[in-house]
Amino acid sequence: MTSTTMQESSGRPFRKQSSTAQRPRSNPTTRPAKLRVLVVEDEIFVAWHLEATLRELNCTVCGMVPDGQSAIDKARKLHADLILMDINLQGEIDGIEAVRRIQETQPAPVIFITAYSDPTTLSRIRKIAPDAPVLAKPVSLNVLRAAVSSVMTPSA
Amino acid sequence: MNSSPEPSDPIRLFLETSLDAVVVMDARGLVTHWTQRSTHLFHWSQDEALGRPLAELVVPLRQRRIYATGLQRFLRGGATNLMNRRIEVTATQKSGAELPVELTISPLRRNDEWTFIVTLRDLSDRKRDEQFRAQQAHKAEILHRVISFAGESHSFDEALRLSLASMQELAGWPLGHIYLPTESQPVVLMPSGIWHGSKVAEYGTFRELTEATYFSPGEGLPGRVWNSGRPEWIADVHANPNGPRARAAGTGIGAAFSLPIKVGARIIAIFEFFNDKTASPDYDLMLALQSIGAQVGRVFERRRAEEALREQAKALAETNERLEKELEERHRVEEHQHLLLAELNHRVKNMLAVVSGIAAQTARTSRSIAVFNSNFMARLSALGRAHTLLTEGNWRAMPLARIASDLLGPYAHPQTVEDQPPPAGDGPEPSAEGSEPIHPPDQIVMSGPPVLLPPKAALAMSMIFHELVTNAAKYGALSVPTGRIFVEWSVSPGPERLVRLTWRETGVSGLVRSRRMGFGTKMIEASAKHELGGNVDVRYTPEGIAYSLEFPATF
Repeated sequence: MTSTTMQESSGRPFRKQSSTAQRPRSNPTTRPAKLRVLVVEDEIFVAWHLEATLRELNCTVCGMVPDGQSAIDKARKLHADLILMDINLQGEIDGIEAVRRIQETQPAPVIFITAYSDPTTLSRIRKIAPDAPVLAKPVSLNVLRAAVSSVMTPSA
Repeated sequence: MNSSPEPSDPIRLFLETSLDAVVVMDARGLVTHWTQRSTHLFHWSQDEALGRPLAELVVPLRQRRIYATGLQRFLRGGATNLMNRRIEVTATQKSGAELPVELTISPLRRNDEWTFIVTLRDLSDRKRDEQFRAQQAHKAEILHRVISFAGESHSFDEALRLSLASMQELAGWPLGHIYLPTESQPVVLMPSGIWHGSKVAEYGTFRELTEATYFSPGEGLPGRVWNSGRPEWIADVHANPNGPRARAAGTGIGAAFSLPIKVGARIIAIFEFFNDKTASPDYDLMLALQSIGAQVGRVFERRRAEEALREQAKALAETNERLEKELEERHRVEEHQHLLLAELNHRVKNMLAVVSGIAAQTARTSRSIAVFNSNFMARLSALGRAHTLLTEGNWRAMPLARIASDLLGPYAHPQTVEDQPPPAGDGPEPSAEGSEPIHPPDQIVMSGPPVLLPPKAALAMSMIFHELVTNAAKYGALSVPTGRIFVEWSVSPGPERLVRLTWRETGVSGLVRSRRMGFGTKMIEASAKHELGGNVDVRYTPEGIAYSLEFPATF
């Protein structure tokens, strides 16, 4: 199973993203602080659902925005530990482009959540974030847990 | 002078053995010597010829004056073209028949007397040869022309017309016409209307008659040619029992000749030529025209084959083009289907995510499964109505008024409780009691200018209307008969166009914030901010409650 394969089962299917090693972030083992997650999702019900699910994973949603430009702004401002990014967003900047711009100045682990799973979209994702998990909507608790664990755990 | 030649007289021996007719005449033009060759050529015996003027024996009557004048001019010492030169003239035989000859008159002066040696060489064979060669050359030229015309013409009719003209020129007859067979069976030979000739205008009666005459095989000259497949010649049409046209009085036709034009064994046209005089069969002409007709037929056959090939090539090209277009269309349709399926897949997944979110949020705010079921189904129903509306509009921008009418319509008319959509929000469990009449039809008043919302905003607005109206039905203006709801919207002018929508409930007092702050209100505020990019303000008034939404008109 590669790091960007859609995954419905629990476990640790994802490798840690290389970008996470270059930035400070919360360490659940030495510091019990909750992971601060920025949720970028333009469907309010989905966003709320993600927020609730993240809460169950002992994470805090530090921001919830519906479009790419807001995501870029919030990412720079909040320094979130993790970004949950939808791809098809309101406005002219989609999720992939937003991540590309965020990574230029504020690298952070990213989990893509999308209903799009076509080769073109996946190819675009791999170019800018080769290790980022791509989760298919709707996302279950177990899949999200595995993905969060994958990107937030240092690789061996 | 009439005795046989003797070896001792070489001059006489020369005269008698000459291949030409040699005549000696005196200054008066009387014959003094007439060779046997002269008798052979002009059929006058020596006895008949000797002593008679040569002019009476061999010079045509119409030329005797010229001949006599020339001779007299010479004898008077004048210049004349007659002497000491070869002249081609026409001479007459005893029967009066004419023949071409080469005439040479050599004057001799003896004892003050003029004697003339006249040599007449028969040119009939040479003239016939020349005429034959000229005819052959003419025929070859006509043949070449016909084949060129037939090959280069743009249509079958044009090829026929040019062929007829050339063959008519070779025949030298004043009128030519073409009959054509019908494609259907039994065959009928019909006039083509193609005429050619030097005197076409003079044969009006015959042409009219021809153009009104259709022949069956065997009937008339074209019918006979059709049956025999060979040329036919009628020397005297008036003596021909099977010639209905030419025998008619006043047509001016004397003789007729016709030949078929064949492509393989099939006759494709029948050419006919007419003469105003009777004429015996000219087999040379028949052969020549038949030969030309055969060549024309071959050209037509080749053209037909070429045209068939062209048609096949054209049909093949058209088939290829059609197939390519069909293939292209199929690819396009497949690509479109692929895109549709991908989009459908995306929307289904997205919708599942939304439904999961609604379910999760509804579950968190429901006190029991029954409440969850009621509220969840009501929200799904509202979402479903919004989707139906957008699908009907082909997922294009949707008028705000249409969304409001669709979502609020069921509450704006007399209904029963059973007909109403299940209430949403954090209210009590739905009543299972019987129906009761409620509310006059004008409880909800809507007004505002045309505003188009894109699909995503339309969905968000639908869910907001759903939460507002279900809250109103449970706790607000729609929960009492005197309550009214005013839904008004406007668009602010200027570059940053904002939609301002007011939901104002009246006729209901005693509403308090604590009772209205539930999931519905939270959803309205979150949707306005998160999905519409705007904000919402809630005010409680003595008469009821007012929501003010503001969001960008452009998305």
